[in-house]
Amino acid sequence: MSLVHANNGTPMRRAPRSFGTTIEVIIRLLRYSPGLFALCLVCATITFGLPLATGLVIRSFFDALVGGSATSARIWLIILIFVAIEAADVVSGTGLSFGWGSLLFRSAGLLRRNLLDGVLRGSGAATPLSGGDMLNRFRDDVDEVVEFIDRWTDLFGRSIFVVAAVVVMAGINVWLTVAVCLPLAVVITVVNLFGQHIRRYREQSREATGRAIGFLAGLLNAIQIIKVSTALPHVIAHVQELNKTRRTTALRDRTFGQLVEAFNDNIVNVGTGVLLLLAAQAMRGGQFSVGDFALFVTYLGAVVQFPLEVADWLTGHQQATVSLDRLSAVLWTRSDALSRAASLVAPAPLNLTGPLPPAPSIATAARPAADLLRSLQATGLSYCYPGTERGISGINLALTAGTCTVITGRVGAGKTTLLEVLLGLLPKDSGEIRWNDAPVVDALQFFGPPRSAYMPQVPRLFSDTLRDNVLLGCPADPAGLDRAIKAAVLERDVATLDDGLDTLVGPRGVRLSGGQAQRAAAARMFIREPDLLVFDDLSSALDLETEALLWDRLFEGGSELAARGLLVVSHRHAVLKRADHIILLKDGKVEAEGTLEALLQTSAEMRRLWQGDDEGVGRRTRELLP
Amino acid sequence: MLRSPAADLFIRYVAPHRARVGGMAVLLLAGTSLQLVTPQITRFFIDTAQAGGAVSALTLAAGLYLGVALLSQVVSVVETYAAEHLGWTATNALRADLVQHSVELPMSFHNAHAPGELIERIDGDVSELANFFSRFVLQLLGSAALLIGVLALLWREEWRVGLALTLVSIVALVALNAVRARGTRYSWAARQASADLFGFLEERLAGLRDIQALGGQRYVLGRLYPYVRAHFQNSRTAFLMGGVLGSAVSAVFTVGWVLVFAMGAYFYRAGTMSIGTVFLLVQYMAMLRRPLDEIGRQAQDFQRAGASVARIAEFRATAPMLPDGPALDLPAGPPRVEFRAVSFGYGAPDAPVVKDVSFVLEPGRVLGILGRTGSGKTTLTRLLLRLYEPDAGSVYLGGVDLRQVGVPDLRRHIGVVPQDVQLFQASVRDNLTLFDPDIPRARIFDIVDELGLGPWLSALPNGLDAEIVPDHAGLSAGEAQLLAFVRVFLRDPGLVILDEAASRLDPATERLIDRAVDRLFHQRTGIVIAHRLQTVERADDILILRNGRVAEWGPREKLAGVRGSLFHELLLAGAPSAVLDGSHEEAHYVARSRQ
Repeated sequence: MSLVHANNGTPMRRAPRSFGTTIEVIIRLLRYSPGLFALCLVCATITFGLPLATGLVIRSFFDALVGGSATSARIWLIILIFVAIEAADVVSGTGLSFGWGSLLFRSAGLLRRNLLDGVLRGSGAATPLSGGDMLNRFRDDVDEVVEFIDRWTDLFGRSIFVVAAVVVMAGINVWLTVAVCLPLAVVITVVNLFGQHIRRYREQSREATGRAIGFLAGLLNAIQIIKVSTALPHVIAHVQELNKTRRTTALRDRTFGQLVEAFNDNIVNVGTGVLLLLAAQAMRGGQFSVGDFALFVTYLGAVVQFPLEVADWLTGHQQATVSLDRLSAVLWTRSDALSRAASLVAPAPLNLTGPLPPAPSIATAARPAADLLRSLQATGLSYCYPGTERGISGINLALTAGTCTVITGRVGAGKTTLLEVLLGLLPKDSGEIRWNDAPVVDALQFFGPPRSAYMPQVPRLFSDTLRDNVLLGCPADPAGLDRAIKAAVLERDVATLDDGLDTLVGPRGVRLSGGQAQRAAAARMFIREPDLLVFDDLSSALDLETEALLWDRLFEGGSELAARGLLVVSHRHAVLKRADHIILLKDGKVEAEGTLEALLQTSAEMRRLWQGDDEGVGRRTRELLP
Repeated sequence: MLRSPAADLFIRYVAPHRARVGGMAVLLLAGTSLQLVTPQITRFFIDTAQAGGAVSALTLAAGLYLGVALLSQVVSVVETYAAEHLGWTATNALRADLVQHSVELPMSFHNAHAPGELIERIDGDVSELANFFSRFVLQLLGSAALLIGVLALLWREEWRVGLALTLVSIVALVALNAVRARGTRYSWAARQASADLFGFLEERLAGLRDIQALGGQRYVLGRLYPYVRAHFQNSRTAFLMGGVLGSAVSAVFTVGWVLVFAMGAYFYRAGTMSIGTVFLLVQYMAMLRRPLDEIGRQAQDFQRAGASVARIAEFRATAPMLPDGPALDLPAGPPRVEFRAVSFGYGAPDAPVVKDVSFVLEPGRVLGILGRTGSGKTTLTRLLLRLYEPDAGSVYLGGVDLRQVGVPDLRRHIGVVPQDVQLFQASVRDNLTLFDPDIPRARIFDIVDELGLGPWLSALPNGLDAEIVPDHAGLSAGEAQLLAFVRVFLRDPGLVILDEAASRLDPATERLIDRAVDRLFHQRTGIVIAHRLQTVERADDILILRNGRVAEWGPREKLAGVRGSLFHELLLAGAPSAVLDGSHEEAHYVARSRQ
């Protein structure tokens, strides 16, 4: 039952999934809320079991009437019992709603929490999923998994009823019981045969939904370009196309499920018809009373639900399995399917009641001096983007504390990839990384503050205040914050903003200018005071002056930051001139390395990059000077 | 004419499918009639069996019963499929309209709403409506038909039973309505909590690298809890309300059952009813539950949909923009650009980003705008594109006030290469043409080659048809900028704006596209935004912005030649911050050059 995902380029083979994995996951999910699950089971048993009593009451009502033994008192007693049963039904039904609602949304909360935790721990940057697609999995696939729990309680309650009901019915007439229940067993078999289809339909449907939502997310992030390019009609056409595919796949998926449901509504009548056909003789002969008939009809309504409950359970299992696979794919760790799925349902505090814990802050723990950066080496680093031939191969890199290493090269040379592979944001295909000569096993876990901090080329801010964006969990020490803001050359901007540091920056920081956002991201990095500062093309949104000021402050004597290591992607002269070591990349490989002087002498590629003369005045302008 | 938002949506999106709805109604009524017939058959069967009637008659009745049951099975299957199909067709139309609407909303709206939150509105809320569109009215009608049918048959059988159960049904409906009215509020809260949760998640997922590389994982996880809690509590309450709805109907129904039993026993013992008729009463009583449950279920869906409808209506009511004027035509060819005393601020009116800006750019000339980050450069272009409206003053293009131009017409005249390029999860081709299917492949290839992207394109497994997944699979920000150049080349506008368009390119690549850019500006009006002097090399005019004001404006050659001009200072000093800041001793230049 292995799953072939439509995501191309998945580097690891999905392990063949055994039937038990999904069940195992659900059991762990139930063990997370044992009290609620028990409540659901008890209420479900009562709710589903009550028709048993109802059938007996109706039977005695008819038999009392037909048998002529009905006194008013007896009739009223029967009615009283009936009322008691209905009252019990209301109580247990409400209990079931409460238990169920709690269990469902609590489990969904746990899954989402663990999923986010897993995404934050894993190399999410390497997943071939867009943000919108991931979001869709957080939303719908989680729902799909928890809704499967519902089928467990239903099935449990129904099973108990069915066993009891069949015993009672067989006590009345074995032959009729078998004759009526047998056709229903056929339903289970038929639905089972369609199991594989359900799964495939579900996969296709979820896939199409993922694509549509993924595109929608991309679209909502690109509103401006769509407006500006008057591309709206074409974009809408594309949305419609995606949604049409989604409709087709969902129709197949959902209709199939609903057909089963529609079947369910009517099969009681079919069963009753069969009963009439078979019971004609017995009823005429008086071996089968009107009361017996009423009981059979009452029970049939509920017994008939059973195979459908089983079918629902199986369908739910298929659908939950698909969704679990899709959730596991988001985690993107190298571990096997079971342990990834298990990590989704690992117990964790959810803080659903009581006071919320204070927003966690990342205190800088004291570190042994031996861990402070002295040197960082990478040998033979390689990474290839799944499904392409792009990436980096066989890169060696060495830097020491207090020096500045610059990675340069043309667009698409692999500069960003190198940084991300080094820091573990992308999982390296091969190569070794050593920190102070000790091998780094899990780069993603190892790097990050206090060892390193990284600023991507297009840094993302969040819908929060500027302060929270810069702190991002760091303890709010005003002096440290001021230092970081100053180091990032952001102090003047803060002064001009409406609410200073408390200004809400809007979704993804859109209320800041490009340069302000970039410097806010730099401040976010500085406040962490890491050993190694990693910048990816800091300068793209900064004017030269601001950038120069930023580098000045960074290299300034007495600055604590000066003693740290710098690893920078840039092609700016100001940066290249300050570099202790330059690594020149071309087509994913090291083309040349050394000091600027040496490279300018030996490398034609370096000369081409250098000739841009991006500083000060260009040739054409210079000619204009008096 | 006042119409509820729900009716409005329904009429707009379901009315076009009248024929199908009609077909479904026929099926539904057929199914209802079949259901009403079955208890009559059972009564005949029981009474015949009790009276010791012929086995052949009994078998015939049973066969008839079975046939009716199977037929209604078929009817309901067909009806289900038709309803699902209709639901999807109608919601997809609504989705497309909402996407269109969301794009048309002003940028100020998008700056206040996270994409994840909008996804919940455009997709999440609409999905809730699928049932409302496809089944709500028909099921309501079908249920009403069944309800009335059952009650009518009961009245016919024995008017006192009919009267009693009619009263019970009315009370049940009133109870349903009362609970539902309370429920909408809870559903609304649940949907809002859900939108908040996914808004939070979407942003964090998009910023995953930043969080990981800065050690913010635990912090971000901690921030999740309030959202999960709000989602849990609101959703559970809404769910519980649904359960209460069912219980309320059950309670009322118990009264009905008591009446049926009591009256059935009374009339049977009085000899006015056969045992088969008592059974018929029981069956109709059981049947009564179905339409009421259905109405309850539809009411519950309607309650959920009601919350979604309210949110969709609210979303649709958000005004897209200031209305277009008389939509004057813009002249073809390179336009003249003029700003007259324009002021604008994004939020607080006392903190304008652009202050009293006036300048003219003649057709075919290129204007270089210089200034520090945050000095208002990009804002000027946004005003020009009418992404925002000026708070004071006017912007003219080709001599026409922008407020009098249709926005699409305006934007067709302008091409922008922005600093940050947004890509779509779609093919390379669609990313370049922005989904315009009419642009021939050959033209795309020509421009791709001219911009030096040929090797990049041919390295992709499917060339133009390869899919781009934004933020992934190694398309660098520099390459994305090159793609944005291609976009503008393909559109051929009269006015081209380069907003730090080459900022992520290395010098070697920048030189590579230099000639292409020269050609781009040929016979077009151009605006080049830069924070580097070199970038404005090809400008005819220079505009220097300082804190949102024009610090200097004039022809480049003239400014360069005038000693004491800001631009001259910039050239001499290689752009010292003091000049752009105008902070201390250089202040007098600013004062002078503003004259």
